Parts: sequence; structure tokens; C-alpha cells
Amino acid sequence: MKATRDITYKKLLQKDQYSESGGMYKAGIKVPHIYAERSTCSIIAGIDLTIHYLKQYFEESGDEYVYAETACKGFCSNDPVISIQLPGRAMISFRNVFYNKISSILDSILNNILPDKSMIIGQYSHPELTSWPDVPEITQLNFYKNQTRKLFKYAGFIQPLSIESYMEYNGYSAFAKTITSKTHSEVCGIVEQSGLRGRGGGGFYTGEKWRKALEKNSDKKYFICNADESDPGSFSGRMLLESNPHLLIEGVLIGAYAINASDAIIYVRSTYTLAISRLENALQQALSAGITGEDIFGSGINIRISVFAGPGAYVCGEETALISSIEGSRGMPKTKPPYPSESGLFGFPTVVNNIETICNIPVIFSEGVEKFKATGREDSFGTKLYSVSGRADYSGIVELEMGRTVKNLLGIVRQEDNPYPVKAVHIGGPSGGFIKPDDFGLRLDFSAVFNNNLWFGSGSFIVLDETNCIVDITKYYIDFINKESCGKCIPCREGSQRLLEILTRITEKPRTGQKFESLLRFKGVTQLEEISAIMKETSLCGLGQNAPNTVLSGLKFFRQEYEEHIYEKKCAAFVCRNLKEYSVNVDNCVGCGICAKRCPADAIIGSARNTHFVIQERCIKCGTCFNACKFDAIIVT
Amino acid sequence: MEEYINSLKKNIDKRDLLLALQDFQNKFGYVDQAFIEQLSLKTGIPSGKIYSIASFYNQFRFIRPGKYHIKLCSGAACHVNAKENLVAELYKLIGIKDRESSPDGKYSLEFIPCMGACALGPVMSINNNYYTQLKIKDLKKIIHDLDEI
Repeated sequence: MKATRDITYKKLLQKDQYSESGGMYKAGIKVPHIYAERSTCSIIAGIDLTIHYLKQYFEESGDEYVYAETACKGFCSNDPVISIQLPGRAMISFRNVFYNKISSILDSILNNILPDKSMIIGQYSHPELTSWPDVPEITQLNFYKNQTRKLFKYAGFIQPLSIESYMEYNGYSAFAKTITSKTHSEVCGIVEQSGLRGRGGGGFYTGEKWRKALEKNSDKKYFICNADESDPGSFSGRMLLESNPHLLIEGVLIGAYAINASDAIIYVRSTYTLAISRLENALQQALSAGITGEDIFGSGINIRISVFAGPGAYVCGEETALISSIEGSRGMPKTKPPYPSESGLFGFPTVVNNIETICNIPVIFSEGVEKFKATGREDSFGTKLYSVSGRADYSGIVELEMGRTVKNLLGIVRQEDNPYPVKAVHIGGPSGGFIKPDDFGLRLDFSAVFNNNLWFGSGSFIVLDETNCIVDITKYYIDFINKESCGKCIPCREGSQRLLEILTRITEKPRTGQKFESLLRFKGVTQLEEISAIMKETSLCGLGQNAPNTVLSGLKFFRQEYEEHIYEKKCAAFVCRNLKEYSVNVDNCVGCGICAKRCPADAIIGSARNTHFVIQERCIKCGTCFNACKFDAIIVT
Repeated sequence: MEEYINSLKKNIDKRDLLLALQDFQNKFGYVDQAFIEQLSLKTGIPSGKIYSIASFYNQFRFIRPGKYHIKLCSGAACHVNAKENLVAELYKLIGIKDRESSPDGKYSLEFIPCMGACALGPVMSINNNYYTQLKIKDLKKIIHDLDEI
């Protein structure tokens, strides 16, 4: 054990710079190297079947090859992605390689012929390797070119199942140097200088938090990584874990050392099975290499890291709730102070940091504070991860320098010639808000975002166009908050319930036709603002305080859409089911009767070869008739 | 299952309550009442309290999953891509809602917060077979095929 530890330690200290040519650009390979980007997103897209056929292909041909599992580079709309490097040639990547396409790709590429252009993403040129003609450079693609990749720099290159692969890129050397040459206080000082702010949403200065915990005298301290990530629409934490679990472990080690904690816990959502298995595998490797555990590198320091599979509750993203969850009770937030840095897990001083914050730590320590501060602006340094989804042309993870605008981000994920204009962007998940097109010049950094009453959350970025209804999206988030509210404090528990009721009422037609129903609908909107204001001021934790953000920003920027729902009882996007009205276009109807036959509510009447009619009172707005009609005779209004 | 319950340690620490629940659910797919009662004896926590803790979290189910366990992603991206229509269609086809099992034990349904394939939404999985960019037409065919088995 001691021998392995010393060898690892010496090896780690010899490295100075992150090597640019580790791992993937192997110049002297003899047989084809094939890399499959295997992550949850690509497994869902069907990469396992592709890998199966790939192995079968080589078994049949009997050729030698090297296969390695990497992880998604963040360009999820290309999944499944396979990269191939032939001896002496540049590495080339293919998109959407489903099981039925793999053999044709291999047939041509192994004979040095390029397959169909539409399947090629691009190549990575290298001075010692022959490039493929007319194949774009991946780093020059619009998606990658405008990103500043630091945390995701080696995603897709590093093999997440191998610690050696991480070390080839200089992994763990920052930790090795830190633990042997710097004191606890110096490490906190470096993080303070770097101005790193928590990426979980609150934007608290990480260095300050660490300093408080370090200064607290206690025989035991805990360092916790929050990788719970339960926001709908955000998956950057999972991608970090799946693509490079060792980066997180290195960050946790430095953090635990900084506050002098001997125990660290990584809290991962239990539904992230692949991430958990990769993390546990990485921890095992780190332990046997002597990087974690007892007496690390002979310094007498012990840092034990364990994984806790969080049973899933959105509120557990709040630090005190997360701590109660690890203690084995309901994950409910507690009043602060005392802050966890004074009295946290089992009463000991505890630091809870978001996964993205922790992954920034090895970057700061390996590239230095100066270089880290060169990206970003004013009070927000470094990069931020965004999980882009919705009506974007390219969905996936985008890593951008702090302080770039919404427009910059949209430029990366939307094609210029997309015919549907962006109606709005929703950032920050359930606690975030809408941004309207006039404000797309908004800088995405902490001060600008907070000044606009927005919230980064864990970086979800949802693009909306005309087919999306603002009221419906708001209802979706409030429904989520209502389900996930822990029920401890009244403003959040009851407020979210009332908000949901009001929003549901707006998105439905008055059922009984009595006058007071319309009155309630009007009253609802004035109450929306009132309830939101109360929730914001009086809720205990961040979940309740930020829950009404979506409502308020929606009302502020898209009031017209709310009014349309209330006064005209119309949803311009045709999303709100209960506001739709189905009727028959008399000119187109040929009387085939298929709609009447399919209608589950018997709401369509008419005799054969005569025009049919919809009885509105019976219609349940299911849309079956609309899908069934072959003559476009059913119209939705 | 009885064997597993009988083989539990004599004293279980309160801290390990969630771990014990997770372990049981991983083995049997749900948390059984008999298990909670045993757990209550071994931890000294009243069974009502254990229920209150377990039901707080999304992970735990208290109904035996069906032969075909359907998970439908209800993440924001899937919602934007018209997930609601699928929910309505699914209810029409198998007659169960979120966290329910059909009386014949064939189907059970669960909405998952986000599966993580936001670029390919809406996403559904049946016993870990994934279906992406699901349309109502595809859904009908999938359920119809299962019905015939």
C-alpha cells in the first residue's frame, strides 16, 4: 500500500502543466482505436446496441482494435457519438450512430473512405497525423468555438472508468502539491483570492464559507458535495460525474483538506445510477492508488470519501435540508443561524458546496488564480455550465465564461436560419424566471442576474418559441414547487397551492357558466402578485423565496398572454387543453364519420356523407378527432 | 422477502434508516409494510414516523410494481415537447395515474423528475427499454404490443 502511494505521489509531482496531448491524440498507434461516448443521454439514445454491433463487427472480421469508453462531450443532440482514430490519421467523430449504421461506417472508414457527410461531426487535427480532407475541425464548430471550456475541457477524452486516463491529463497533481506544500489557511486564502462563488444558486463566496468552517474548533468536521440536482431541465451535474468523476474527487479532497475535515460525503441523486457507479468505481481506484483514505502521501492526513444516494427531494438542494436527509430524517430546512459551518451534520461544522463549485477548485489550483480570474468579470469569475433544452437546435451542456450575454448563448444553440423566433428563455429552473427577447443583451453574471430578480439555479436554460405557452410553463413549475414543497413553513406550502389553483383556473374555461366564476378568474391575477410577494418575503428557505420568480417575471413580461387567457379564454400557442375548442369546418367535411367513431366522449354527431358537428358540452378536448381526420376538417380555436 | 426481513441486523442505527429503505427497495422494487414494521422494532422509531420519512422522498414506492414498469420523464424539456398529451393518452390506454399499479398487476406508472435525455424528449422507459421522441402513435403501438403478450 505504502509503495503504491509513494509511486503515485512521485508521478504526480513530476507533472507541471496540463498536458495538451494526453489520452486521445495518440500519434503512434498500430491498430484502430474506437471510442464510444457512453453517458445516460447516449444510453437512452441507444449506444449500448451500437457497441454490441461494433464488437460483433470486429469479431467477425477478426481484425485487431482497441475499444474505450468515454463520456458525452455535452453535444447531446448528436447522440450516440462514436469516434474513430486509424493509425496515422486524425481522430474523426460521427453523430447519430444507431445500431444499423455502425457497420456501414466501419466498412468505409476502415478502408480510408469517408462515409456519408451528414453523419460526420468533424475531426481533431494534429500536426503529426494526416487530416481527413473536407472534414470540419470540431473545435471550430459553432457549438464548441464560442464556449470557454474549463470543467468540460477533457470531457469525452478522459475515460471515466480509468484513473490513469485522468492522470495523463495531469489529474490529482494539483492536490498532491497542495496537500504537501500548503497549509489549510493558505488553501482557503487561494480560494478567497479567486473570488469563486457558489454555483448552486445563492452565489455565496466559497472561500469565505471555508474560512468560517476552518476557524471553528472541533475534533470532527464534514465536507459535503451537493450533487442532488433535482431541478427539472438541468443535467450538468450528472454530466460532470459521468464524464470525469475524478475531477470532483480531486475538488472534494482539496476542499476537505482546506477546512481540515477527515470525512467527506458526496450526495448524489439515487436515480443517477450510472453516475453513482462511475463515482464509486473512481473512489475505489483513488483509494487503492493511495490518493484518499488514511495518511495520504505520508502527510498524516486522512480524508475518507463516501457516497450517499439521495432518495430524491428537490428541497434537499438546500444545505440544511440536505444535512437532515443524511442524518436519516425528513429533508426539511432549518432556520439559520446557526449556519452549517458552525453546527451542521450531527452537530459538527460542515461545509456544503455544489458539485459545479467543487469542480472549479482543481481548475483554480492547477491553472493559478491569475488565469482563473482572467475569465469572467467584476464579481463573477470563471465559467458557468448551462443545460440547454427546449426549442433549441442543439441541446446539451454549454460552458460559457461568466458575463456573456443571453444572445451569445442563443447563438451557440440556435441555427441562424431557424424559422421560429425565440419567444422567451427560461433560466434557473423552478426558482428562475423568464427573459424576454428585448432583454437578451442581459449579461449572465451574478450581479446582473440578481439585479433582474432572476436566479441561476443549477443552470437550466430552456428555449421557448411560439408553440409554448407562458402560463402553461409557469403552471408546470408551480406544480413542481407544490409537489416538492416540504410543508414546513406556511407561505410556501399554502402559497404554492393557491398559486397552482389560480393558474389552473386561468387555463380552464369557466365550467358552470355562473358569473362568479369569471370574477374569480379576474381576482386570481391580482392575488397572484400578492401571494407571490408574501411568499418571497416570508418563506424560510430558498425554495419558497424563489418559487414565485417564474410567476412574477411571466406577469411582468408576458402580461398580455395572461390577459388573453383570462379575458378571451384563448391560448395562442394551443397548449392549454381546456381552453381549446374543436369544431368542424363545414367545407372540408365529407362525412366519413371517422371522428364520430373515434371520439371517446360521443361528442360528435352526424349521419354518413353529411357534415358532422361537435357538441361542445360533451367535448373533453382530447384531440382524437383532430388526429383522426384525414381531410383537415377539424379546426382548433 | 421474509428471509430478507428475518436476516436484518438486531439493532439498526437511526442514521442508516434511509440506507435500509433504499436497500430493500432495490431488492424488491417497493417498500413493504411488513418491512417497515420490522424496521420500526429494530430502530426504535415508530412505524408512522418511518412512513413520514419514507413518503417524503420521491424514491420510495409503497405499491408493488407491475410486470411492466413504465417511467415517463416529466422534466421541463419533455414538458415543453408536449408530454401532457402522452400522459392523457397513457391514462386512456392503461387507466392508471402517477405512482399507481393496474389491478391485474401488469402495468405500473411513475413520473420521473428528469431522466437526463433532454435533447430527445419526450422520453419513456418500460423496464429499462428506452423510447425517445415519443409520439402518441408510437405510444399506442407500444402499449398495444404489450397488451397482446
